Amino acid sequence: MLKRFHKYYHPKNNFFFVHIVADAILILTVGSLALYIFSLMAYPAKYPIANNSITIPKNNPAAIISAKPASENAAKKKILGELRLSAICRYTLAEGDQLGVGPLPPKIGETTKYWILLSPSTNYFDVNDVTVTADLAQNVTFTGRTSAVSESGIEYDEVKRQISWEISKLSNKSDELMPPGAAFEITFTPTEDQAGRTAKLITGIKISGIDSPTKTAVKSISANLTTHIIEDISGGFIQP
Amino acid sequence: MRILQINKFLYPKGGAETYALSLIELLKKNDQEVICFSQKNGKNIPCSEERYFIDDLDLSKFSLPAILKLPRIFWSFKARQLVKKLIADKRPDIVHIHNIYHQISPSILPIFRQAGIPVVMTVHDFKLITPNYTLRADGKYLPHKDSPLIDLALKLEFAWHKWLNVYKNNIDLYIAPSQFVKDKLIGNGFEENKISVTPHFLAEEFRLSNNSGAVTATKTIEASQEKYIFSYGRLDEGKGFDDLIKAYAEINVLGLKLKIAGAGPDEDRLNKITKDLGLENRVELLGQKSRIEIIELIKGAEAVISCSKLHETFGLTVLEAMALGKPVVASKVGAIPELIEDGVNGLLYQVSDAGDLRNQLFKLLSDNKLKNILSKAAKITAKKYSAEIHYAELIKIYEQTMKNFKKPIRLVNIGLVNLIAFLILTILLLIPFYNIYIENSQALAPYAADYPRLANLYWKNPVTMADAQELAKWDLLVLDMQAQTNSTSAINEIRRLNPNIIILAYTTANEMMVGQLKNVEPSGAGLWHDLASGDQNVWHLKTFRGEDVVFWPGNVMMNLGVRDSNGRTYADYLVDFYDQKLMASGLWDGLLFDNTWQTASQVSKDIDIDGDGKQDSIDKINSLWQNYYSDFFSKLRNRLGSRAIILGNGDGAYQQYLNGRMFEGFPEYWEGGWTGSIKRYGETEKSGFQPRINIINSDTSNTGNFYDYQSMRYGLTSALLFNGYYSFDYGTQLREQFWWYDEYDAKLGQPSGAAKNLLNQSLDIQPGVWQRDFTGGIVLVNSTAKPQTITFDADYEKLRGSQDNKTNSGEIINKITLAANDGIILLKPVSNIDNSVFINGAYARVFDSSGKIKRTGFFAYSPIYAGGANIIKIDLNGDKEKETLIADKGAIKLFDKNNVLIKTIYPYGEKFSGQINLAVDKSTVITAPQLGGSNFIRFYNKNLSDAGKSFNAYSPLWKNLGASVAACDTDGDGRTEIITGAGFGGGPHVKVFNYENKAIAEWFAYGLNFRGGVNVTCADINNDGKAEVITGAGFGGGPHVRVFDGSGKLLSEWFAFDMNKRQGVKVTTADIDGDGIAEVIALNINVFGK
Repeated sequence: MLKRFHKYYHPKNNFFFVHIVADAILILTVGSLALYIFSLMAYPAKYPIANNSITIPKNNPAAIISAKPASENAAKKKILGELRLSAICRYTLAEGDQLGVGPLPPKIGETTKYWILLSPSTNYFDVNDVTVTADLAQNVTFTGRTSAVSESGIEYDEVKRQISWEISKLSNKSDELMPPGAAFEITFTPTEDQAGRTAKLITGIKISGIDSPTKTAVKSISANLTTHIIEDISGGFIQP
Repeated sequence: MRILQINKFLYPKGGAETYALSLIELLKKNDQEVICFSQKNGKNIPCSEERYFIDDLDLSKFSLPAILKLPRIFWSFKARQLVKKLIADKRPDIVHIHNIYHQISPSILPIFRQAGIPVVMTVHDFKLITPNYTLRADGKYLPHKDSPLIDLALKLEFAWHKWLNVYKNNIDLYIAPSQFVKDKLIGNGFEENKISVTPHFLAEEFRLSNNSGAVTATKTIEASQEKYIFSYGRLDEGKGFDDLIKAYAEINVLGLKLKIAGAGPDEDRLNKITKDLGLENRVELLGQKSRIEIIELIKGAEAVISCSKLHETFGLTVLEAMALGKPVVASKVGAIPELIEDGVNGLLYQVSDAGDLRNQLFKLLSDNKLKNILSKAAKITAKKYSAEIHYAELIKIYEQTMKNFKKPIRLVNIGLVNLIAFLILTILLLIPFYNIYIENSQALAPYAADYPRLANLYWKNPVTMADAQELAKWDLLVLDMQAQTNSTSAINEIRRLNPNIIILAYTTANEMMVGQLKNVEPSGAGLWHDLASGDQNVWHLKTFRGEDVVFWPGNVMMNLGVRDSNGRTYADYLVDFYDQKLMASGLWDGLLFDNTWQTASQVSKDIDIDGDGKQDSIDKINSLWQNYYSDFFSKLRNRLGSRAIILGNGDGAYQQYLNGRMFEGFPEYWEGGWTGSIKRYGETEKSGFQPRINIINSDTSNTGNFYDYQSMRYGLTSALLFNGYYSFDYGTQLREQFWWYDEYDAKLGQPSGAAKNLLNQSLDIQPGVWQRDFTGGIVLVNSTAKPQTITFDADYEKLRGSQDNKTNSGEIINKITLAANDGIILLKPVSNIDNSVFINGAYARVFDSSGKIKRTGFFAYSPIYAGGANIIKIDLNGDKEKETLIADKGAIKLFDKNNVLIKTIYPYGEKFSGQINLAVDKSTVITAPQLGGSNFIRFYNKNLSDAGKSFNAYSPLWKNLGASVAACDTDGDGRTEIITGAGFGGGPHVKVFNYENKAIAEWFAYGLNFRGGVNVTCADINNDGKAEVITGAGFGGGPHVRVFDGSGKLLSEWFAFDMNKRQGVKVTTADIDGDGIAEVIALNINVFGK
């Protein structure tokens, strides 16, 4: 080996440069191939590449539903983007800024104001035509104060006592510079019958949209929001 | 020195313009900073302040636009508005007015007064004393030549401005170009000590010509082989060219012609005279000639004749001819005899006397020796009027005026009678005049300080310069009158720091220091000594036994009404003393009299009030005491007029002469406690000499307990129920505190209604919970003896303080429980950002320049526009209505005040869909691509048309690098710099560009290796007159805010949100609390998730 090396790479060898270039290409090609094979073995394919023949990691929470593909090929299992909504009731922001006004926990006959913060997200694929809806519970009113970092803002249907928020396209990129979010303010004035317990503030919180690659409807439902909020150390029980 | 020069034309037009333009050039040449204000006109000299100029008004043409603009000659609101903006932006040290009437109008003068800027005015004509700005030598009024209607308008204009006293009240010094002008002004009621005589100077061209004049002149004569005498000017009847032609007709010098240059309404008549006299071949009316042609014509002439029948304010044309070495024959009008000494450096003739003119011309033309003598002497005379001498004199005038400038007392300059009269005039004139009354009354109203208004009673003497720094924070300051002699510098410093402050001298009219004089003024000199020097025993208040009456140990009481042997009372003596000794010093805005009682019997019942040696009844004592006091204040008010604010500390008497009173030790039991005191406070606000100024003083009852926050609040909030000034201090034994409370920084703005009792919704003063609304918040006082709970219909924000944290916690509330005898100030929560770019929908935190949170945060959101867009609401086109600019997805949209889309542009092409960063500099919109776009900065005007200016902030080769952009004056030079920050992917590279797009400073705001870019904004956040550059780390960095000066020096820094988050931080600035100083606002768009 050493002799061979000496033979081909001796400075006096006329083909010194030819050898060195040819060997370098060979090493790079073999190395790249080895890395590729290693990566295939170590990390299973994340996305469906062909024929939906994919492996899903055990802990992946992606929703798997049956759906007829756009083409007339045989129906097969499709993986869709997971559409999620973070809906939180806040009296203060996570960093302590005051948002709400009034007694905390709420008191019968007195008005407490809260803000509801909404933050949608999706994994895997973009979701189009996203709609968020939520209903106001008993003794809750919509003040009209809202905010949104997205094309459209919060809408309120007085008859249905329902808020809605639309996003034309929800990106799956986690590092997006400006992820969409929205917020609205509500008042809650508890009545006698609510004394001593927590009360619902927002119910029927739903998010729905159209999965971008499959054009399939996706949706999820969030838990109701109550007076039991993280800032209220008393547990949100309504005071007499 | 930054000098604002104002003339209605900034191009060569008449004598005033010739002088003003030469002066601007001269000042600039000597490195003085000149800023200008004028009318817009294409012929104007280049001026960077042109955007502030008022629209052109051409009164020489009869047109509908000109007629519609005619009210402007009486009072121009537009000019006022523009000038306000100009001085707010440029902050001149002094204003130099030239001709402003008609096109600009003197409406701008009170603006400078209010802004605390001294004003000098060069008197270029006689408009200050006659409607038609010219004075005939024969004393006849010369009506306007064009129309009797115009003449009537001029008379109305003159009468109106004279009535307002708008010149006299607002000009600090008149610069008369001649003694003649000065004399005329004095003769018409102008104060002699406000007029300085400073002659004009010769422009550069004449001085240069002067050096080579003889040679050039010879050449001209040789070239033309023509002999002539020359005169020039506007061909007006008043210029006397008819006299000249008649005189010339009688001179028979072979080949000598008469040439007259100029144009004007008298041309036809002069042609006719020429024809009638058979002089067509000898007299040439040359028409309008350029300045260069005039110079050449003077040079070639045998003599120059100035034949005006009008009084000249200076006679620049005469001086110019003299500078060129030409013998001058001139009429004896106005200032001409000040330039020409007859037979020494020129010849004079009797005005309008053609025979005399002929004689003088003949004398000159027939005597070459005389010609040479006059020519040489004329040159020597002209040398005295050099630019250097003029510059030195003028700078001295400026400096002296600034030094002597005293902030005027903010009293109503126009009396009620004037306003009513003007209202009648308004109705008569109908058309656009109708709103002049309102505007005018606002313009000249007393300085309307925002609330709370604060007073400090500071008796310590002398007042040091360090004290001055502290005392300047108050709105009203009362100093012992002895400060006049030992604290002059400190008082001047206070005024410099706070030009709007009211400073009163503390004094008394019914006591004379005798025993305490040495203690009070140990040096043996001072105002109290001065006062005592005129003391006469007969003026002392005596008992019927002849003993002095003493109220305060060491002082004797004085009797204001008893006469001395000369029939003079102590009241007479005092009036002279306050007028000539105190107010004449120019240091004081007025006087605060202690112990202004209605009665004296409480001091002694043995008083002999009428000085007849007998004991007087109590009724007589009190009745005469009151008469004497009334008489004194009446005389004092008559003497001082509205020049002085006069307050009394006592029981509220004599208010017809006083501007108000001090409520010492509020709430005083003898006034009926809180209820009685507030009733009196309300009553004294309603009537008396205007304007009303009351001081509510609460104190610690001589305990010195600074921490008695409740007492302080109770007094302050009570004071805020009406319009008075509030003071809280130690007490009667010691008044020398600088105590400052969190509440003093509250920005309540102006009241929006009267106080009312929430317990019964009544306005009648009685114990209750009282609320008064202000533009910036509300004030609550609980004057009952028990706690009271109030629930609001709206949310209010508690102050954010560092003293009583529980009371001033910054919390937003909709209900409060107030302790008995307590009060509170609550603010309206902040909910929007005006005049600054923000991300629509972001959560905003408000900081001061050091990073301290100033107000409770809020969502900055306008629901009618797309969330996440960059948005600014600002008055772009100067119509006083806010337009909205939206930058979203590669487009910039302009919406009008009704949110109607006006225009959409795509600064980086329609294919570019990235975000665009925005900045607005007055009416210029500046854009930068957030990502990509080769960091190309573009400029647009107010209607989003291309302003023709652009540059790459960084390398144009870095196509993917965007930028953030801001625009401010970072070096205080009056010009805007453009600040850029590299976009995401670039380093935190900040650059400052001057108006020529040249980088004048650059630095890295964060670590060199950071590649998230940097967000920039700018504003003067520390009130130093220069804008600071504020940066926020780009995406990937923490919410790190840094404040730099314009050269990159770090001034302060902090983390605006959770320092562990890595989304960077966007920053903007806005004056959120209306205190005139911008706050830093950090914007967070990542608050919606968990």
